[in-house]
Amino acid sequence: MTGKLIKYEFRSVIRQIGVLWAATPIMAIIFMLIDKFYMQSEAFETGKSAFASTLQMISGFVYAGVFMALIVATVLIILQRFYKGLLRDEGYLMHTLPVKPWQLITAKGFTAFVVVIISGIIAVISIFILIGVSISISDLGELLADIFGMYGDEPVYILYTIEAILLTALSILKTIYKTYASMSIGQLSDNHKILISVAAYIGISVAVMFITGVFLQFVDGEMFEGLIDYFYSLSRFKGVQLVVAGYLLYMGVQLAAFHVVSERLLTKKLNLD
Amino acid sequence: MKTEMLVECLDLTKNFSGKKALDAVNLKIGRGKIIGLLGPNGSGKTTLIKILNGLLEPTFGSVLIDGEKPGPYTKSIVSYLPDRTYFADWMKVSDIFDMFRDFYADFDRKKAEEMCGLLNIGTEEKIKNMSKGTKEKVQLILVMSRKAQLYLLDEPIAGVDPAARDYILSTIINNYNEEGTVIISTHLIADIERVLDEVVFLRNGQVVRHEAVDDIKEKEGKSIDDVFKDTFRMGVAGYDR
Repeated sequence: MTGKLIKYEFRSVIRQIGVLWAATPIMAIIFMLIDKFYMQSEAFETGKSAFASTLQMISGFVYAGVFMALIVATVLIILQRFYKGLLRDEGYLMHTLPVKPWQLITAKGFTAFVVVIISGIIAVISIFILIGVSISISDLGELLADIFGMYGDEPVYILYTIEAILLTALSILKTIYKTYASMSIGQLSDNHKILISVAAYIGISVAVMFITGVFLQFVDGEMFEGLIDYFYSLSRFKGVQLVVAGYLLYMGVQLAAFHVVSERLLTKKLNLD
Repeated sequence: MKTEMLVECLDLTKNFSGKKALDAVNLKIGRGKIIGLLGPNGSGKTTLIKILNGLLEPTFGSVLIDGEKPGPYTKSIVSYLPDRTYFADWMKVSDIFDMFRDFYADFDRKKAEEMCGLLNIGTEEKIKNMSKGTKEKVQLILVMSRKAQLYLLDEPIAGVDPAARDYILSTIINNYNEEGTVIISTHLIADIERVLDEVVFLRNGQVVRHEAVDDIKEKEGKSIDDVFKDTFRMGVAGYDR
């Protein structure tokens, strides 16, 4: 059932942001072509073509506008698909489907995560197009061969790559679920759902900083002197791995906590108008 | 195996900010009936329906539908018409039909499409461009195209003109699963009493009467509408169960 929920989430987001996903690289290509055309034209040399420079400016503005819209739409879709989809009228449909609240939250979270990744990739591709980075198939093959060669020579880079991907993924998911937990708290209010959601987001951020601070004080204290000594006695590689593992745990705990808060509130305290 | 009683509420209580929306409701509802959940505004009808749907958790007491607490199983056998439209902006009629087909094994898509055809509603129409009345019709089609065991219809005839009321009632009567039970909440009793088998009167969150329509008419020689007016005008002495 979670898979079916995800299917409908994707249908929804593609109809909302699909145009921007297509428009961003297209506008980058148009801007790049106009820019190249203008830069190489005689008019540029003589500085006489007002038309060409206007066209270049307009295409630049449109690209910048589409790029900004992509970022704003990505953020808005994450918030709106949860808020409107589960906490407003659409919630009457979603919460009466034969699924559990955790499945609804997971479907939203997974889809939002994929939307962020796709928007990010599209934004990067459009920037590459803009700065004129063109990679041919053979170049790409060479690049991949270099990367795999590096992994062969130094297998530890495989570990670093996996860790970097995991950290990025957990960081994105944790941020998404933090907004979900905030909105789940905000919906408890009858009249000020959005305001309370914003306040909850700030409150959660402060609480996480406070708890982290207290925990670090605790770890830094005498009780854990042995642990710190042990940490300094490790090799650089082991030290880095310990820090990465600790950070992954730190993010994972937050992610789990935000999910549990959202799930419990939507199960026990759902407040549809 | 099907339980004898489709719905069982035991001391069902729901508080909102300390105020009792439902107050120790004890109710048993059998199968194959059309039941009017009747009461003035604020009597607890919507709260009871939301608890039966699993949209609200009771503060105290319990509810069983086909022997199970509200959850994915009960949601799979309950067909719910809320008192508002619940469509997402992006949906076409065919999208919501796809969704119902995917989530409810008892959804009859062919029947839904036929009902749309009779009302000249195109399945490729975007729901957000439809009038409020058409959206409500699509929602009614969805609900009545399921062969559910329990239909929960929250104020299906409120705020619509008499012609639309007739359409809604005939759609319900002609399409519900006769082995299932229909619970219709309303305060517009005159329009629906001809279709009801039983009535439940709610007042201030309490069940003040639950009886078969024929028994009431035989005992009192009045229409349900008149009995309702008498009950809520004069109090409920003698009717408490």
